[in-house]
Amino acid sequence: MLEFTDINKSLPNGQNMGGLTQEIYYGFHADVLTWPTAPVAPATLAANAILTGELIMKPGKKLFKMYITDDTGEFLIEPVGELDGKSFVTHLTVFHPGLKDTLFGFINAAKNDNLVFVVQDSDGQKYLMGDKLRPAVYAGSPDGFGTGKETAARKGISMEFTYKTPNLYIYPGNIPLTEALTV
Amino acid sequence: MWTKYFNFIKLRRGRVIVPFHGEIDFSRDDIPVEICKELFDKGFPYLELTELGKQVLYPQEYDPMGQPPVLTKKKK
Repeated sequence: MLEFTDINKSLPNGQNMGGLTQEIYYGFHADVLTWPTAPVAPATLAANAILTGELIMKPGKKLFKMYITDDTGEFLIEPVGELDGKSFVTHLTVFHPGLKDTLFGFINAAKNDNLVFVVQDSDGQKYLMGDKLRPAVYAGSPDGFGTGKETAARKGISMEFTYKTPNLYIYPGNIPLTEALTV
Repeated sequence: MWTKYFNFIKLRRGRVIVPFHGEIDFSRDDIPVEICKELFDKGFPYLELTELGKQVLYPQEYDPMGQPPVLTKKKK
């Protein structure tokens, strides 16, 4: 049975920098073979927040990198729901500079499809958006999507992706950027 | 060379983002064996020991009679 413990200040090496790294990792939800699992009957608070296992892709599939402009990436957690029905919606917002064919192609393919993301904060802690039951989905472009008005404007695409989850977890596993082999 | 001691499995040899070390390109032959051993000890799912790896890196667990090695967890 889960035991409560003291929750003390815990900033290893004094680190607590905000924001995300300049790469996020994405793929199709349908390309995932097995998902990390949520804790079952954890004994501690910490164990209640850690996924177990690896994100394993189907044979021939992998996750991909996406560059994002520094200081534009945010992983935001929104508690939602009524009393006795609380859960979370996690929001990933990023900005990718330029209006190039590859990103247009990504948006065209991803806008109505089910996705998975792994994002890494500035301390290297990773968050998985997607699970066996629910994907991450494209939610819109909250900070603009186009050329901008002035020549000094930043041309590019902001993107927001959301993922609904009953609980919040940290993903301690690896991110495969190379195709999985047939088992 | 690390590939004498470990086989890269389940993925085509290539890039993986791993905790603490970031992106490692396993298609390269110059990855320090110490890093591979550290990853293996922590349960990295994409490495398995070769016979030479068992003998050299885990001699205490290596059984020359052909039994698979019993790898014990490091004490913290």
